[in-house]
Amino acid sequence: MLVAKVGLDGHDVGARVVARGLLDAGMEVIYTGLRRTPEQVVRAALEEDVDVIGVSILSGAHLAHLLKIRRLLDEQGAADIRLIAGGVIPQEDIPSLEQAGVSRVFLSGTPISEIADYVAAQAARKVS
Amino acid sequence: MEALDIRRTARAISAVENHAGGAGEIVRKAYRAARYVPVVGVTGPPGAGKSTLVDRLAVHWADRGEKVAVLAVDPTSPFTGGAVLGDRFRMERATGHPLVFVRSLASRGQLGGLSGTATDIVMVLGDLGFDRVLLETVGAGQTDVAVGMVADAVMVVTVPGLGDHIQAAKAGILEIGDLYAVNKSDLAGATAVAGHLEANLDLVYPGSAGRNAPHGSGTPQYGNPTLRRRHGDATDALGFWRPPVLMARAREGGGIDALADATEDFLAWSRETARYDDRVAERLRFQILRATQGRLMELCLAADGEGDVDLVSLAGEIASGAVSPDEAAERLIEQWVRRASNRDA
Repeated sequence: MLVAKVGLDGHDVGARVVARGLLDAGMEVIYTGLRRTPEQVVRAALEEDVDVIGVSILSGAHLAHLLKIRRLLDEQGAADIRLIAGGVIPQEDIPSLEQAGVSRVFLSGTPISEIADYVAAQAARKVS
Repeated sequence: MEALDIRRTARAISAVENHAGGAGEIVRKAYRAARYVPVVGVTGPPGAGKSTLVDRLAVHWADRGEKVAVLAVDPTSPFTGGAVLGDRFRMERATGHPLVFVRSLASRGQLGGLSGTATDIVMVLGDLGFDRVLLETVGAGQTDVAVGMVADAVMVVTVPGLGDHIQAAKAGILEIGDLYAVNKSDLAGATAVAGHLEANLDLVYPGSAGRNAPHGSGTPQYGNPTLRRRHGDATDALGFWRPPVLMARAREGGGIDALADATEDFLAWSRETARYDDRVAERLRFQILRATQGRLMELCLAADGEGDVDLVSLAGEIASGAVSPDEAAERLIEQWVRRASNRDA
């Protein structure tokens, strides 16, 4: 699992809480740090061979970043890596994100166990 | 320059790390290719700046045209088996470089600061065309010395402010360095730290930093056979190596060229004096024992419960004071031997 922050958004408490929660659920989580570009996120995901990329977004610029990450993954033969998003995302944007290849959107307030269950299911899918 | 095959490399490492299907073949192929590339280990206490130093060194060698793989090991939670891997976060330069591949590894219950499969992964990286591997251990304590077993050159990183000179005299990671780096050398106390390190080295090594010509006379100066094998001693016709202590400021890039040069010099010396080959052989012996241990456990577990000996009742016998764990292990192994010889008969 890769937990990433993209763009000019300096708030990573949410990302770190999610990373910690997934650690407690027994997962290996790679945290990228703040202000990554979509290219950096994709390179990290490929090198680390992750099952899922989780992008934490609180800045409103999520749509363009997520679409770009998805496109770069698909271009580099990594259509199997699931992309999920979390944070503050307007309800009306969710359908267009899902249409563009974001597998799930977890809004603020989602219990971490729900995210952990989703990630575990994706990892199991890849193994079988 | 041929680009890195990131996906293939990443998947091969995952397979080996997870003992997944296909891992055996990947590892066997790598050992048959027998491409032993230099492995530089970087160890030291948490916060010493290991990741930043590795970042700089990786770029140093990649800028000279080498394909460099970085393995950064972080601890696995002993309670949940999970891990948060954050080292690549501090490798801003290396993570974007076209010739550097950075991979985080969780230690997964192995003591000694290294993932148990590290040696196999290093072989696979050599087979995949990497020219050098940089191995960063977890923030090391005084006993995390496994890197000395996996790497061809070990750099121990320390910083001012960790304790008095008695700390420097303790055994452990201060015995495994082929080179020492005092990072954050602009901080107060850096010169003193370097001085303490040198004073400790003086107790063990005659001569000056780096290559030393044979001293001709004198007795072997150290009783530690591992050090003597690795660094030679004063009676050695090929001379000996005294680990240099170098100053660095990894964040600003200071001292990196000198550290890289000293590493190269050590590797060259080690090859010229055939100590490099000894070290590889020592590592391979260790791997055989590790593999034997794993295989024996597998076989005994497979035989568990087939005869009159099983783990559950053995544990009960230990709890009731009838046998010790050593005796229980003997019985488990004997059961497997009996089963194997019956099958052969």
